[in-house]
Amino acid sequence: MIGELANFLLVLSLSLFLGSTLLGLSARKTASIRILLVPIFTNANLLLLFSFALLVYLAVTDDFSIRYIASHSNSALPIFYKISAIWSAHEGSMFLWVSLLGIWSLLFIRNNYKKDLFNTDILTLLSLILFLFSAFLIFTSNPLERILPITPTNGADINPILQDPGLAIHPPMLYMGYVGFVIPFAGAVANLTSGSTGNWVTSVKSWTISAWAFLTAGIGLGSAWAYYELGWGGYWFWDPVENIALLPWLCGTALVHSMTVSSKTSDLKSWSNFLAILVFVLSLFGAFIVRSGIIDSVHSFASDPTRGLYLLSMIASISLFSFSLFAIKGINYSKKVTLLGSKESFIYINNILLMTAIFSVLIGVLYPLIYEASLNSRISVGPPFYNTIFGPMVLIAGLFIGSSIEAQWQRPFQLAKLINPIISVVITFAVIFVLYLVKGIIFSALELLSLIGGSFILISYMLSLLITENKKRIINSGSIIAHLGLGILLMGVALNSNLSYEETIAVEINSPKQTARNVILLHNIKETEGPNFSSIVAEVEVNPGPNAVNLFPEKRRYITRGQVTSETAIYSNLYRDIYLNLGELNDQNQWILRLQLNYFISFIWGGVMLMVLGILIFLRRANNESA
Amino acid sequence: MNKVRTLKGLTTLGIILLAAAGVTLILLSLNNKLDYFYSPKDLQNIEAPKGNFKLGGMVLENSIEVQGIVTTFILTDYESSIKVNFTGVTPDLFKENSGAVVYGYLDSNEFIAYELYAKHDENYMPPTIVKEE
Repeated sequence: MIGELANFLLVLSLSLFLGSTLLGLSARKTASIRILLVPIFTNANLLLLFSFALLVYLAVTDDFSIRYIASHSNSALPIFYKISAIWSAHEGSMFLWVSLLGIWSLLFIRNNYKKDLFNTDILTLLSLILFLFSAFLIFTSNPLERILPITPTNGADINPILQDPGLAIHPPMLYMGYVGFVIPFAGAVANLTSGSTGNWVTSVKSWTISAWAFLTAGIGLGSAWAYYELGWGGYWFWDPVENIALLPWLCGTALVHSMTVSSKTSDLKSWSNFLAILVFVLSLFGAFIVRSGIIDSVHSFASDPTRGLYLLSMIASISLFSFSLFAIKGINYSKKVTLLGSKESFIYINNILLMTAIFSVLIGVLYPLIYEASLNSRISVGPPFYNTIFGPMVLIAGLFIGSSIEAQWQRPFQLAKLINPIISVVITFAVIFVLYLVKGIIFSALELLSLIGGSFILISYMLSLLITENKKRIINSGSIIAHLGLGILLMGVALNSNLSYEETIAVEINSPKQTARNVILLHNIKETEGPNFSSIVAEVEVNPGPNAVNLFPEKRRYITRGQVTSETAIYSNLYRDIYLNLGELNDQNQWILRLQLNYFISFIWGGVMLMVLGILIFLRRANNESA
Repeated sequence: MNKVRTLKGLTTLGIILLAAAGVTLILLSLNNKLDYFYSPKDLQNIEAPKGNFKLGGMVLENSIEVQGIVTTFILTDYESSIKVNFTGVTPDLFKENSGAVVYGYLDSNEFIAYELYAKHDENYMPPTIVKEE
């Protein structure tokens, strides 16, 4: 009954979205219709969200007559995972995606609706997008479909690898980021259709920054989840699914920087307009790649060519429409001269670098498709390509970010400002040289690029903060914290790549084994029972003695699906993780263990956290400015 | 006015040339860093590639053996098969009759894998095989 109600509400909201789209279009001629728009739009969104809430209720109460819940949940699951099971596969993910789209749209319209034409166009556009995606949801991937007349008594369970707090929070965060970019997109397109002279950038800037914060946190969480759950000991694999999340992030980063210029100096308005369209198109592109399964990825998602085709045609029409509109109406040549060394000139460089990065990643993602279609041979583009492209780019970015801290809006370059950057370069090279002399550490070329870029940002920001008398002028704390985060992240990446070490061994119980760097002692293998799994736990002592570390890696067999997952044991301190995986029992009755020493992982997580924190502080400032 | 136009034209031309140079560099770097992806059957038909490549297929039933830290198994597309040698801890989803992708090189008639991937989804079949069905 509740299932039918949810389905009915969903269809009702679909028709209301169609209604508000059509009314919105006619409101361009007949102004009196406008008063109807907001109530219709609001109710359509509320119905959509109510329908989603009903699905959550159905999932929590184990209604296995709903096909989706039956195939992705189980009565033995903790409530937390019954809810997160909703976004563990395609249909539910799309429902979450559309619902979050509804939340963003509703909040934006409720906060901004003044009766001017500009906002009417935004509302119409948001209605249209919501209509298209609700239709996609209902007609190709309805999560509320019933199994009748014989309903299963229990569900098939969620994939155990997804039974993890990290993965429960990661997709909603990521989606919040993706769909949040609908606001700048709608703002930019409405600006073009209405020819509004008002500054559209100011009205959508803080919304863009919020979406960007969510996306940054979402990518960070995904990376952390992969690190501790997948047991490979890496945090980024340049897999297509990661790359398509990186694309909107890079574009969002370019957009926020460009918007800052637009709102401060009224330059780059056309460019912000272009980026605002691009960022949402890239988010949709990501959804298409993931949902159509067109690219072979280590992550695998349920895929279906019909859905892919529907999504592709939707994305194609949305981008064709918005980019043509931009080409016809959006391009304004600025006659202003940009002063070299001014803050905006640094942001121009930032945008050029980010566009290059976007283009390179896009090529890397699409090249296998083009190659297969034209040469009928399968290839994949792996880390070496991306590392070669990103290495030099992060160095250049680092050098410019480090030099830009004291730059001012519309002020030319001052030679005196070069002192800090020069000192930073000297310190950076001195430290690398000392590391070589004392520890014998030799960095590869790529590692050096990232290390120098990162430490250059860190040192020159620190110096500026310590030395400058007029602290108030340069302290835009959000921006400083976020850039420091980036610096720490880049250093972490380089140090991790250089220092990390792994070894695989086979051991018998209670016979210590000396490896190249460690002594490993397997004390025992114990069998235990969890709430919905049985598991074997290894008791391992690494380097017995005063500095011994005890680790308990685990292998779980989940009862419902019979699927096995490994739980990595990790001992972390500030500079190093000891990371231990339990493998199989080999044919000689020895257990295989893999030990990794992963250095400076905490710099990577810490860097991302600082970036998110910085963005949030920056958001507060942007909110205060627009209020 | 004309002078401004010429200047604009030159700038546009410059940007296009720079962009073209950039794209060429990226594509060149891409070509050196591609990993080719084959199925066991491909290896019968083409000249064995030198260097590293990816190989995808299904793990043959009863073919997994673990000696020390080395796992050997037979990867098949049900037309051709090849013996694979992998040193290290196998992923959780690695099992018989299930899809696997290995990355490494061909040494006489054995494939020496540096990396071994098994897919998240248990219903997964490598696309190379699905396509031919």
